[in-house]
Amino acid sequence: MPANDLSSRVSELNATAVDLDGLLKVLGDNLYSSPSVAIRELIQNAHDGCIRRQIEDSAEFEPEVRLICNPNAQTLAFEDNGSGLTRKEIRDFLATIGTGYTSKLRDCKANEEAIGYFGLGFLSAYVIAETVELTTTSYQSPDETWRFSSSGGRRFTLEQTTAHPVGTRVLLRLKAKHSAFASPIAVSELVAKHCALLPIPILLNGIDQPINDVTLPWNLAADTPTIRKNKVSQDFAETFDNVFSPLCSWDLQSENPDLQGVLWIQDGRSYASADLRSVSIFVRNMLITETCRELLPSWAGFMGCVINTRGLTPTASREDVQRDAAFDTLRESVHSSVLNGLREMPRTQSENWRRVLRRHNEALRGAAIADPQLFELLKTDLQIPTSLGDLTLDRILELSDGKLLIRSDESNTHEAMLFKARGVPVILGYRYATLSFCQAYAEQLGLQVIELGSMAANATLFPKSDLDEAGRCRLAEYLLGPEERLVVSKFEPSNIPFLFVTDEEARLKRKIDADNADERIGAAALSLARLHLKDVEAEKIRDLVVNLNSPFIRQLACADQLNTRRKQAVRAMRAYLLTLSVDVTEDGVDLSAELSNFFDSLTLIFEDN
Amino acid sequence: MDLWGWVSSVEAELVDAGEHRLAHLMRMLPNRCCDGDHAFVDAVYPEALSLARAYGNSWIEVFVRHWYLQSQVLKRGRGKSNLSEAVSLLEFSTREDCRDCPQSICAVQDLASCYGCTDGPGYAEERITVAKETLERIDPSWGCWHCISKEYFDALVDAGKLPEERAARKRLREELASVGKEPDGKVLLGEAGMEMRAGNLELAEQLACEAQDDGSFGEAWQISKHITLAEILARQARSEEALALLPEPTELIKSPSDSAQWVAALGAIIASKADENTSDRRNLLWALAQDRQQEGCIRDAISIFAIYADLSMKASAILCTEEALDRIDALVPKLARDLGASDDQLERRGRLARMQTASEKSVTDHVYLMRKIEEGDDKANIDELRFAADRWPEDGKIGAAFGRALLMAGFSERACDILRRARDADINNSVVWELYGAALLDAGQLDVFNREIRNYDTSALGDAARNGIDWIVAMQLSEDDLPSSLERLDALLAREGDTIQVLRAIAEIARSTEDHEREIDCWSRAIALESNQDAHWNRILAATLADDWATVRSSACALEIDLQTKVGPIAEDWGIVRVSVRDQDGQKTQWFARRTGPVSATIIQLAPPQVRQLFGAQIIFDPTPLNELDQQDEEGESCDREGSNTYLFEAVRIGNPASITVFDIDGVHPGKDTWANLEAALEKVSVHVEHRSNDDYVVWDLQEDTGVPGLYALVGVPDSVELSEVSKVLNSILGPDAQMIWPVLLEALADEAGLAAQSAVELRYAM
Repeated sequence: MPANDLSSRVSELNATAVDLDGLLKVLGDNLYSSPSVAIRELIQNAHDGCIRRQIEDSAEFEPEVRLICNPNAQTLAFEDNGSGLTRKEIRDFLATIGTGYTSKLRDCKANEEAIGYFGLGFLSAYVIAETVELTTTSYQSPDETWRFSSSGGRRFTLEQTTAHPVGTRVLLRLKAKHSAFASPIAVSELVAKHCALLPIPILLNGIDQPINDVTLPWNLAADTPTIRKNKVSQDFAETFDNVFSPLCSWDLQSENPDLQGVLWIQDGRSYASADLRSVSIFVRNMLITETCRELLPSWAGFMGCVINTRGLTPTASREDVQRDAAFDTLRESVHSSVLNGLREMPRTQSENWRRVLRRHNEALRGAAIADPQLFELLKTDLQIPTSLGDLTLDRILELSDGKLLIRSDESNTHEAMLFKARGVPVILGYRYATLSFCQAYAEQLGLQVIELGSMAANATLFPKSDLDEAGRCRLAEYLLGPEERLVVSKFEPSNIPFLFVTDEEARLKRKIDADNADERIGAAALSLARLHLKDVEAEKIRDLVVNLNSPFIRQLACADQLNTRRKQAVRAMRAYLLTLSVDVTEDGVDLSAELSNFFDSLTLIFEDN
Repeated sequence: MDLWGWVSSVEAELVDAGEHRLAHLMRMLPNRCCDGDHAFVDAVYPEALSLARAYGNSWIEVFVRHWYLQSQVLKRGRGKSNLSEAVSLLEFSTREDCRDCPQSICAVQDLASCYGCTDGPGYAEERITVAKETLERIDPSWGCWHCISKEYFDALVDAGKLPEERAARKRLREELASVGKEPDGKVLLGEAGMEMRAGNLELAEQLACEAQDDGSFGEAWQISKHITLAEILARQARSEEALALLPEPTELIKSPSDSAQWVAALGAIIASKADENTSDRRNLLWALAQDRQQEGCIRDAISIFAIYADLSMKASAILCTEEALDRIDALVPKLARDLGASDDQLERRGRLARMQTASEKSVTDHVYLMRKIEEGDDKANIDELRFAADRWPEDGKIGAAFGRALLMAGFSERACDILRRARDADINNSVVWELYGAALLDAGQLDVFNREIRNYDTSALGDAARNGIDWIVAMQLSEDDLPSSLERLDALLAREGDTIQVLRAIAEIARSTEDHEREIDCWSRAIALESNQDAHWNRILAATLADDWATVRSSACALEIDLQTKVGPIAEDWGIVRVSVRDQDGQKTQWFARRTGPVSATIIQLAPPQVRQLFGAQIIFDPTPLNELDQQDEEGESCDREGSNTYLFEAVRIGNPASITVFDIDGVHPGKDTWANLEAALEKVSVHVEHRSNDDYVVWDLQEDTGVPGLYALVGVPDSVELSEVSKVLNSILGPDAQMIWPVLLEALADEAGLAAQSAVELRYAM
């Protein structure tokens, strides 16, 4: 190797220096989304110190972590009676960035309780503190107490000090902008959630009651009565849902002993696909993230869960978990537990189930079409929006003679008029998850679905009836407009004499075949469009469906001649029903002209009288 | 055109206009579509379209309709059923007010994809022309450039124009470079497919591995990537790796249009790993092929059936091969262009014929086969049964076993043929008749069912055959024609005497038609055949509905229920239960009731004013409780998992509620003694009082700005009691200074002075 190559390599090695200010800025501004992470990291260090001492020191002790908030002095202290650090360890682990004892502990002792990973935790203290003062006495040298002190982390002093009991005390003199962390209330709220699962008690400002004193549902004895289990798990869930109280909850079912969790349904009323999933993921008892919604099924916008696992790997910031195979497996477990819990509920918690149906009717419709098993569970219990209010499908079928009539838009069509007059519910298919839910139900039971507005639906609604040729000719003469086809039918109610039904395919064909279509649509695309419509008959664009049940129509079919007044009456009626039945913007109907027809005719009838 | 820039700005506009829901749906539609969450897309599409139209922005309508078609057509391959919509969107998106919409150009892709799904190679030339024409109108800066390019490449592949595909992909790279862009994961994955087809498998693998999601491709793309990579590995005979990578078939729900490629990858895996050619896998392929066929993806269905046939031939499953080739025969004429499909089919037919000749089986051991059939050996080889059925066509049992096996395998059309033949050969075999009927219904041949089963002239048949016919017809009619179903069951009963199965079926119909006498009779006869608790409880329910107290008592005695009276209606006090009642809107509510007999109760719970009252209604309920009292509460009492100490039953009949007026009392708690006095005084005059609030109830005194203990109660006054009397009792016991209100009662009495006085209390306590 040439000498100059070697020297360049050496100089490269020497050039790697840490810009600590920059690194802290990166930690504070980029790596951690919130400065509160520092609190979590320092508690974690205290916890790991206790775990280390439990493993390495044969002496008995009751591990605990104490927090002392002093708003006046703007300080926050973390005390533990864990292993403490020797002078060497302070130099190795605190003064050297990127190393930590926890990972060594886990590697060497096969210990799974310790939480830390990257040795960056202590450094995060500088994100919120002007100065960090650490006083520590190692169980290995209980007569030596060391004080480490640093402002900004760049330089530090290390000196021996008066003897303290075994353990560590970290005192943070907070930066002004982070003085809120000296507030006992703020710290208590933060710690209660982040450290809820830590087995070591965390005491605040000398109060005996630990702030992480939470009964964990999965720690209850196997023979605990279900009713007690439910209560505990619901109280537990309450701590974690930031938006709603839980209505009911159940434990995550898993054969994996390293995986525990609680799932719940929120008590607040949900709307359609609104996504209020609340997910808290703990890794080794420490809260890592509250934003990983995808752990719950996408349709479960009304649910929450807390998961504690050893199987997931936190990201570098330890504010999220990596999306790896373990995450996929966990997600499957959670999905399966969600479904099992919901399936169980009608049988075991009927009153809660009733509440769930009331609060989350719409969201559950979406859920049901996403999952066939849920659909089975929910198909007869959920309500469907109809023109007569929200009804279950069974009730709709009772009222509509075993058919499901569905509207796919809100336009005012002849069907709206027809069924309103009959008092038959029409399903509002344009509301969330309604159309596909009804289609699935109908398919399963072999029911007839009539999607109003389609030609197929019209053929069902208006079956053709016989009428002699003369009657047919008279009706055509008196009623039929240009480009309209006469359809003779019988339908209820009889007080609707006739209706207009647009032939959508014919309308589309006309537009595609129009002379100017090639000016706006490319020739090749146009030819594909025309290929599809080549067999569609487009001479007539609209059906005029006459109702032989109507006395008026029967009279009209027999009337050889109409006097002027009657002609005006028919004209007025036609204009009126045309504007009611068709989409004037799409069907080439001149609304103004039809309204003129209507009022001019009425005026003439009036004058004639 | 910056599509996503426009989407972002229009979302902001929508939020500003208060259209949060539409803004949310615009954001979610593409995300969920790309993630393969098609149920979500289906759920929100009609709503999103309706909102877009109501908002009046035609660009948003184009966007919503396009993403729906992406989900329907591109991801799920539903081209045929969406052609009209695709044409309609094309027409709409090219109107004057839409032509500048950045999403409008995509309507062309939607339309071309519809044809591509139906028969990609058959419409390849048309698709190539359309894609080229569209690409000429846009450049790589357009968001849809990639999509149209992909459609172009796919069409070239379908047309077999692989050199042109290579040249076009090269041009794409150059064009991307010209605007300073690197090829993204989609481009790389497309190139990986191209290299795989060219046999450059190592390069293909490298490209596929390099292809990464830029964060926007979604889960459906990941599935496509894994399928491509699995096929590349399988073609290198790395079947274990390929199998590990191939997505689970359940994942295909996110991207059903990848089914054919998934099957091709599996086929390549099995080519080098014969032990993976299991009947379960082939059944899966059959289901996928059927799914594609149902969606109108003719070419894909043919290709999957063809792989199924190849694998079946490798497994010597002759009949399965025949079925698949029959399906292909029916599909080939539906292709836009044959393009060798008929030749491939001829070749497969030839191979099958050689196999059939080679494997002509001579099933000689009739006794052995019959034993297998009678023992219900599911593993009896379907081909073995077929040869046996050919050899002993007069043997109805073999015919039935073969027909059943076909039915189980999903070959219902062929099952119909076989069972028809078996029926003709063994016309008095009831099982054959039942199976034949079931096969016809399964195949959707209702007309044939009516002709050959329901309306069959049975005069020349023996009783067994008639029984088989009547049973299957009764079951079919029970769905929508109960009287006719009953007629069949009656005939069956008359012919073969009482059987539990038939009696139960009749009882169920009788309950639906509220023919209680008939139902009682059925259960009585069923009990005579075999006395069991279930039949007795059913009889109690039917008899209670019919007021047949003697029968109720008889079954109660059999169940060792100790009734207090010996004759007449049963109206005892069995304690408190809850009943679940279906409301007029179809939803269920729960009510407390006093159980008065085995299946009867009276509702004792008041509903608040303005709500449907059921107080006093006599309920007859299904005796199977909806909950279990298998827990213990803190007092050691039995309770269910929700802590309720009462059983919950489903109401079957709801009688008329008592005629009462209900009003509520709300306000400051008057003190325990006063309240007890009031309750006693009202109960004395038959007025029912229900104290609803608990000890935590507090009303807020706005005057003192403090909470004080409150009380809320409902009061039900029977029509026999004057409301004014009740008012007097309230006034006299609570006194003029009572801080409580009962406006509903005062309104009923038109007591304006009282209302005025109480309104002050109402305001003070913000009630």
